[in-house]
Amino acid sequence: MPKPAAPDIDPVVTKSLSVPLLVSTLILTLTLVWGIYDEVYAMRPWKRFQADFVELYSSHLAKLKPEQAAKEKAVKESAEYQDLQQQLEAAEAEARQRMEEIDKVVNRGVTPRLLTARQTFQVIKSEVDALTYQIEVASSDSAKQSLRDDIAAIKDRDVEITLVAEDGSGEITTAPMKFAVLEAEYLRLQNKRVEMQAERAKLLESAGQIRAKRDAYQANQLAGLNEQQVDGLIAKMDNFGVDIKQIHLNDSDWVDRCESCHLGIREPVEIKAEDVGGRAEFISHPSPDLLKIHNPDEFGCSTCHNGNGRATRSAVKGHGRHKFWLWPMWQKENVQAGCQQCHAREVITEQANVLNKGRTLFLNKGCWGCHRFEGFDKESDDLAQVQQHMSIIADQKSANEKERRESIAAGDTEQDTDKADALYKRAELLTLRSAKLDAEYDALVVDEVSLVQEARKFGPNLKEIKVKLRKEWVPVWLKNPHDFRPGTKMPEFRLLDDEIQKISAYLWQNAIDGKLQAHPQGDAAKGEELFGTRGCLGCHSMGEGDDTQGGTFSANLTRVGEKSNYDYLVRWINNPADVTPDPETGETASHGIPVMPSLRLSMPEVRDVASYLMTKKTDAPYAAADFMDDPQMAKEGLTLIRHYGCAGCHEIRGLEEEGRIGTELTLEGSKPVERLDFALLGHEAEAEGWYNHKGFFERKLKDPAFYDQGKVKAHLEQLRMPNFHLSDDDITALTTFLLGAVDTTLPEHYRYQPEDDRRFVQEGWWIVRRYNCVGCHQISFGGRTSLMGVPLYQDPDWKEQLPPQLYTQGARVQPDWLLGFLENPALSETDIHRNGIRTYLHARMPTFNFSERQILKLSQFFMARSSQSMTYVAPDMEPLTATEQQLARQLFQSRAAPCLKCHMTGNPARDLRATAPNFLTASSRLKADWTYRWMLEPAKIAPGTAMPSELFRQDGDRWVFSGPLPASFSGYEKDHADLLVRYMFQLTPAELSRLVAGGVQ
Amino acid sequence: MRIWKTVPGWMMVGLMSFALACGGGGGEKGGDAAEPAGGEAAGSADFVTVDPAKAATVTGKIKLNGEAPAMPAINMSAEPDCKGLHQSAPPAEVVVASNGMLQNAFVWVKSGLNGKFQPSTTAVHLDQKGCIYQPHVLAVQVGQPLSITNSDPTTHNVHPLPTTNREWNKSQTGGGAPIDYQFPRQEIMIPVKCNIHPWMRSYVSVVDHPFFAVSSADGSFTIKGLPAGTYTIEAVHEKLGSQETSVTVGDAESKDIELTFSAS
Repeated sequence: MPKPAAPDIDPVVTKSLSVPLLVSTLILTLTLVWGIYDEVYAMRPWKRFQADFVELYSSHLAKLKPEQAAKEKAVKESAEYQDLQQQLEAAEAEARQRMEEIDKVVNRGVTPRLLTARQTFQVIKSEVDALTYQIEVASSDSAKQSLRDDIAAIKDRDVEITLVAEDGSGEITTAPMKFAVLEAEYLRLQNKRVEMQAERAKLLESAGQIRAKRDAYQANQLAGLNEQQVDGLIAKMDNFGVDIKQIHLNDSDWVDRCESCHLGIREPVEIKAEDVGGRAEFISHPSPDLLKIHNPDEFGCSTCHNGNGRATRSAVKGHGRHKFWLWPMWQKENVQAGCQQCHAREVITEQANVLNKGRTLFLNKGCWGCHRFEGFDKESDDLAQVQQHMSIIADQKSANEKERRESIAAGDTEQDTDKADALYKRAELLTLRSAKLDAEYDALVVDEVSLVQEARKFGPNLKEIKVKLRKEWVPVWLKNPHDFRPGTKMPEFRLLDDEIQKISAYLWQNAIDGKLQAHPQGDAAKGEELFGTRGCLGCHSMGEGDDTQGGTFSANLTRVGEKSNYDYLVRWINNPADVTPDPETGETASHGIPVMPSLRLSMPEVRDVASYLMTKKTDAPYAAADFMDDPQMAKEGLTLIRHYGCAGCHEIRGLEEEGRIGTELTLEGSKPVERLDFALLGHEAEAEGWYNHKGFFERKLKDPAFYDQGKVKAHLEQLRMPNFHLSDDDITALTTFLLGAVDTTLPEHYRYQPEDDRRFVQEGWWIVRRYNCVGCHQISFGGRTSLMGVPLYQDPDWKEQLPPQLYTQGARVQPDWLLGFLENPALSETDIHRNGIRTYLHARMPTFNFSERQILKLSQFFMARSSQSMTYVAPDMEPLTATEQQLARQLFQSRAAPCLKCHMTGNPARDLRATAPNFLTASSRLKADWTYRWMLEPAKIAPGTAMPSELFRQDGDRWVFSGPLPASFSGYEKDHADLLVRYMFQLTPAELSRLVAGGVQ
Repeated sequence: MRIWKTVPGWMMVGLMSFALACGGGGGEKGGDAAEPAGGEAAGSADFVTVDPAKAATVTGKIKLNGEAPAMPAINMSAEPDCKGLHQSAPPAEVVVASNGMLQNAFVWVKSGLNGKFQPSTTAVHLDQKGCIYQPHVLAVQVGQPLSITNSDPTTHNVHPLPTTNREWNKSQTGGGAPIDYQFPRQEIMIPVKCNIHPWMRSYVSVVDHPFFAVSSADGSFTIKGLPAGTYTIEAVHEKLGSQETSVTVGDAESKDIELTFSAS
């Protein structure tokens, strides 16, 4: 029998497993330790941030505390504070004494006495009550009577009662008292206690008022927090809980945990990086004002900033700066893109200057000529809306009319009087409804007319080039407009020479060949002076490089003489809305409502300015351009003009109905990045980190042909977007605007779409921007006008020649006056070559050919910005008594009152020196309450104004003139500023001449 | 939920780190930023003092090359109160020169000084008399009081037009209380005007040290009390622009310099 094979060696038995087991155990243990470390610590970086913040911020607060304490001490040592403090102490001392008396009487007299009396009273009363109950349940009259007798006996009984003295002296008296007396005493004591407690509270209140005044003074004088408040913050840091700081917006289920790391954002102390060891993540929000109107508890953080508000594992994830997050946090320079998503209706959003610049560029560089962007086509969008509305009304009306006719017809055949009556009533109602619809329709017709006038293409109408331009100049311009005029809005198309020739030929041959009126030459030197002072530089610039002065809104005119036809310039300056008809067809080139206004120059002045402008040229040679008359060339030119989309910005014959050639950009920021055409540069972009919207926009704007790189394409297949030669700042601004052009995921109510007066402000800014009112007027705080930068206006005397500030124009003037002024700034139909109000200003408020709708909207804008209504009812003014008239006149005429030195009076010789408007215009132009405030403190309404402050000083609750007063004023108790306002508003021309005649000069 | 998802990750990394990492103590990351610098700010109240025995002096003349333009007489007819105070119409003070020496140029140490200097507490006086500012050009230190008075019977308004300081505009009746003001920042040649009498003009310079002067009728000026050093001295004129030169002075040394403007 063969031996059974030896069994296989069993490794379990024969070999030790301790080593692998040990190794596995170690691995498992380490993994567990690592896992716990990761979970508790590594994946929760905010814990470290919070620990650091608490340490850094606490030490900053510890440093801040003595500083604030010192400041607080300084405030407390000031005379005003001490005065209030003494008042408070006096009041408190006085109160304390009386309060101690009250406390003594109440605590040691009235209250114990009351308690004893009440106890005894209640014992007796309970006996009486028990007997009274028995009376009610007693069965026989005799029993009832007996009980009544018992009650009477109890009430009549004298009760010995020991009471402490009421005055709190502690004296004790024992006296017999009947029930009725006891009850009276009890009620009296109760009332007395209430009275005394009320008196005590009153004493505390008057001291409390002074204390509130003192604390308000301290809060006003002390910059930053007081010591106690700093202590509060220190305590807050001492009790800081390390946890996720989360904002949860219930309505949209939005979650932001940003403040888990950015802990200083909302601290009441301004934290700068250097305060917290250079840790920029801990600083306060740079614009607390913004947070005031966008409370993070209601608006969140990533709603505006983008990023991934939920992520807490790392800064990169929280900021969403990786390719798997679709809404990476805006870069610092583009942060205002966040404003655009909710403020999409606006062209100017307060506190968003970069974004405003981007929008303004989009508007004023004419980007919307090729790219539709909702809101930037205001006129045609509004027109479509108005017309739609009109057709709805027309439909309603015809339905109404039909029903009305039917009702009448039915009524006429109805036998039942009541039914017939109801039918006639119905017809009557419908008649009235139709009348209302008619009114509504007529208002829309006005809008429609306005909007048709307003709608115009961005660039100049090219149907006029034959009367306007030097022929040879056209191809030179097309080659590269920026060579001829750096900074022009006309971009550089990458045209080949033959393309330029063909396009020039088409444009030239399709222009109106009108006959301009010939004008004699003017005086160029005078023209130069007029150009520099009438306000042309508010929009236009002159000079090149560092010598440039004036605004960038309109063309730089340094070489305008090279391109222009003198007679055309005269026509244009005289009235930009003028046209020259084609001699054969009568066709005219409509300018719509030209952006250029009329400065109401006299014809000689117009010729002077035009003659001056004709001198602005270089001796650059111009090659003959005979090809421009070649019909074949023109024919080919048409295709090219269509290809390059010239008609997006210009009126061109034969292309009136041509559409836009660019992409719509309304939601460009939301376009998936894959749909942005990086062409062959996608990989490079990814490798270099600019494969995103920002990277795409910036490069495209810098060089619109950028994405043609590396491609071999026929010329006409290359990218068509022309080069605007934008500065880096311009590119940042436009990129910001485009980044914010998103289809926002935020709920509707986050968007700023007010329907009240704030709507007027939004709407008005479009007109203000379009016509560049800000070239001459300061409208928003901190705005600098183009004129303010012109060297001439640096002179202290010329500073006064700057056009008026309009910060609070709506509070100053009456709405009806404003409507009339915007319509006709000369305020006269005949004497038009002047300013209507400030005739002394060299700069002239021009006449814009505004439509009725625009005038209304601008007035609404100014009123709404000053929280004023469009309806103004002048307040009843107390009539001047004869004495008051005398007083006011004397004050005006006195040496001390300088009013008539500056204000116009209607006397031409005197008015040459005037620097302020005529008082006669006050009652129809100004609001009386504004005028009163203006006289008291003009610098608070228009900083930098020539009108001096401190003409009046406070005297009790009235204001009195601060200089020496005419003797007749003694005994006059009323407010002097109010007297002058009433005098001014009731001033007649006769009184004014009396005033001037009797004046000191 | 998230823990479960990441468990395999831990294992992998755990194993790998076990296999690879031997000794590279991960330890704390650089979470602990350096202690915030606790040092005090440079002593702000420490003013430079110059030993009078060592103080240097720069004197000099302001010259005008070429013919000074004749100054037109001021037409004060709009203000008879002031007109009456003058025997004949006073000339404007825009360019005042005689014998080739220029008056009313503001001269100051533009650069070269180190440290801060104690502001003087002595008030500098600007008066309005006969509808003319007296003096026409003056200077104060930052924080030094400027006291403005009106010695005329008529009301003036005082309206400085600075660019870096705060602008204000106050009326002041004849003989009224003085307006006291301290400018908080350095600014050279701030125009001061009266809107009521447009011909009135004064220039106030505000300097953050005490080393400045205004050239007198003979064009001379003196800047005293300087510490030894090399300085850029600038003369500024309201109409003729500015001129500058460099000067080095040692302890207790006195140097004479000349600055020349051109009239054209």
